[in-house]
Amino acid sequence: MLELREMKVAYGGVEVVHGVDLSLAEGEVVGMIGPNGAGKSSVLRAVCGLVRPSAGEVLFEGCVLNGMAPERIARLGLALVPEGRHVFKTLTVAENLRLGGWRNGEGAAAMEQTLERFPILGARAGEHADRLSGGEQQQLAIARALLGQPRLLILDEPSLGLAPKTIDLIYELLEGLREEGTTMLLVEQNAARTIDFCDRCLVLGGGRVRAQGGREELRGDSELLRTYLGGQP
Amino acid sequence: MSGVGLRSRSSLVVSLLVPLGLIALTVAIGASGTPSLQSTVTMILCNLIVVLGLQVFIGNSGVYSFGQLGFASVGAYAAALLTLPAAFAALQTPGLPDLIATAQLGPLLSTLIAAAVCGLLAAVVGLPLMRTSTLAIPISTFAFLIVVYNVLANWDAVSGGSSGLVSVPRTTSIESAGLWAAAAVVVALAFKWSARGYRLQATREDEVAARSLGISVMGERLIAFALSGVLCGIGGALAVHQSGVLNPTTFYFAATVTTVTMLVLGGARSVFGAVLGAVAVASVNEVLRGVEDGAHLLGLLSIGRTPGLAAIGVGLILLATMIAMPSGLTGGREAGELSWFRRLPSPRVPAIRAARAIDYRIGGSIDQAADGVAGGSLQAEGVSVAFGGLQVLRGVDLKLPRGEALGLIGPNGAGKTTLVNVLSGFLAPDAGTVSLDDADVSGRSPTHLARAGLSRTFQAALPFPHLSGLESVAVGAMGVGVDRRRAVAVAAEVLTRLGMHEQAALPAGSLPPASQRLLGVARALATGPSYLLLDEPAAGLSELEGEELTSILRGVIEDFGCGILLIEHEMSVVMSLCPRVQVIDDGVTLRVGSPAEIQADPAVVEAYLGSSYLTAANA
Repeated sequence: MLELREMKVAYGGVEVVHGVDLSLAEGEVVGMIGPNGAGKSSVLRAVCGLVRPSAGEVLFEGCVLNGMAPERIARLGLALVPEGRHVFKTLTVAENLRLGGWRNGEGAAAMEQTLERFPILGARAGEHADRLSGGEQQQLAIARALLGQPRLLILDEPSLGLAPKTIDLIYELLEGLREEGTTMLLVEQNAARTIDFCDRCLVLGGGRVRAQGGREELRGDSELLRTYLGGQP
Repeated sequence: MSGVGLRSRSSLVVSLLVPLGLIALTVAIGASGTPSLQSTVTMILCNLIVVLGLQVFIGNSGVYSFGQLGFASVGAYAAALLTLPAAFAALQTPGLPDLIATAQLGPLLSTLIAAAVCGLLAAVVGLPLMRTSTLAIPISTFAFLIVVYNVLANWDAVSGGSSGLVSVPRTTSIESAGLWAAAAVVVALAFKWSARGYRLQATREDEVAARSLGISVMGERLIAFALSGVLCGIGGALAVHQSGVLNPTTFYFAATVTTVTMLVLGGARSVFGAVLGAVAVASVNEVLRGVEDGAHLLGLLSIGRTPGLAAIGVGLILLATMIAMPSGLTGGREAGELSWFRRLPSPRVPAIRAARAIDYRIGGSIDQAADGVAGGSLQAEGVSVAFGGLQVLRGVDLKLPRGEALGLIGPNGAGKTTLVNVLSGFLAPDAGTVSLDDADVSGRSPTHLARAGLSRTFQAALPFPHLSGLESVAVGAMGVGVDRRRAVAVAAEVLTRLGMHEQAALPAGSLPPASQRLLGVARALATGPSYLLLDEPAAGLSELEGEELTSILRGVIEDFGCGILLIEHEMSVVMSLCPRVQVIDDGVTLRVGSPAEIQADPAVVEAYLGSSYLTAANA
């Protein structure tokens, strides 16, 4: 579904991603982990069109995304849940959700389904988004992305700045989405959690893919994890 | 610490010489031409000084002022009236006091007096104007421009009214205009790279973060506004002594649009941009104006008279440039920072890693950190805050002694950040008090608290994107009144200690998010705080980096004896750094205790940690 071929990213002539390959099949959940500055966010930014890859190709269903504007990429069905959530703060929860689905007509059924999945959003539908706690805003950001009925859901650090208990809740929601077959590309700092959650993970370091594999393979390679991620897997 | 500068010597020399060279080239071309070309070029140089005046305020503050041409107008009138021959003065401005009417000063003295008048006027006018908000300043300064115009147009007896003044002595030569322009470049660069200039640039980059460093936004803007007034006044004075005629519209709407355009086209943050923009727009304008009157191109193509071509052409070129280069021709960089000169060495920060404690006895309030009240503490008592109908904090107490780390944890929305906002002066509590070393500081401004030794970071990194890492951190020390040289030394030490010396030369905006957050910690440390409030510094760090941060913070406590309040969700960091942890939930304190007590408390597990944390911790 999504394929990166030798993709490189540079900012002002300084290359930070030195050729990353990745292929993601429909229904797969793939994670990217690695230290701060490894290039994870740059890869996501390039996929979503926020920065143009300096070399290589980004393909979505065979269609080349290089140089395409972010909004056109979004219309193809790639939805980004950005780091820091970026909800529309001065609009209400309901307005945020309506905007998420603005291209899908009335979508009353989809809205109902969303509110079922995220009951807290239903309870606070009339409130301004900036009144929501961080965890609630993260749910709103995910729900807003889902209402665009994306083919691929991209999540950038969904647990950033959230309390441990809230992170559990977010991952329960994501688990639900996975069971329904949602294709996801996930960037996270918490290596252990990401390896557990994803079908497959890429370990990035210094702008390159240092290792990849499923849960068992990565967990077994404790030396690699210590080198690039620290902590105990 | 000698040898550490904010930029390398070669970069500095290039940044200075390139704009000066461009001015010299302009003078040389003009001086070799016809008298009409000479006067055209002289006028371009006068305008250039006005554009540099705009750069000093707009470029460094990031706030647009549309009133600066008012100062050019006042400067021009002042200089004209002081030099007008007595016979013409009696004819044109009968109401002028004799002293001025018969003054007939020379060009230099009249220009200096005009500059002083404009500087004073800008300081007085700026006092109320700079109090208005960032969004209101463009409008309030524009109103000032209109007031100046109306006074000059209607004060017939003194200003000559709307018909203006003629027969003003034409004493500005192309060489003298060039010298004044060169001096203006030096002044603008010296200001930009002074401690004051950096403090003002910090307010441009992020107003909230700048205030947290003790920088007075209004005060710094006012000083630049006055300096800008001086430069604009000089430009106006020289211009009237070039053209010999003056009326209230000379420096009004059209001139405002032209000069602001020149600044934006060149790149407002850059002094070189101001020079380049002024010369480029004026040159294109002159060429097109030549074509307007009909011209032959290469003897092949003949163009008839096309009035309006110059204005349309300049407009189109401006549009194309802004689409292709949104930050202007220079991208807001000085000549020595441009990529043509990329091979110039970056400023070097020595790679000693935490070899010694930062010398905090380096002046001003920073002494407090080392010598201050032993056993002092930052205390909150009974703090309550409500937003509209929503009660966010209800009577929270908190005590942070010096030399200790206190963890502050709780669910999202519990009120942790609100409490830090109260402690750091960004939010006045509805009830309760905050005291700093036993002095009541409730309701004092962030600027005041930062100077009293309280520093903080933010959940969002709030970087100064266009300043380098070293500059960003040095601004922290400058904000509490440390001079520039010492501030740079402190910044270099802090960055080295945080292991960020390799990133010191890069623009802060180009760093990954977690590094930006760490840079915020460095910036706060450079103020030499007695108390440091950190809002989620480990967010986005990997576990390994989190461990490094913990040991850095431990070193900070040991070496500087400051108290650290740590808001953090990464439990490994909180539990290993903080001997005491306070849990708040729904605006009240749920529990204060040791990490072990907290982790064992069922109420804390229920409200915050979640049962999976227990499972993981026991495994």
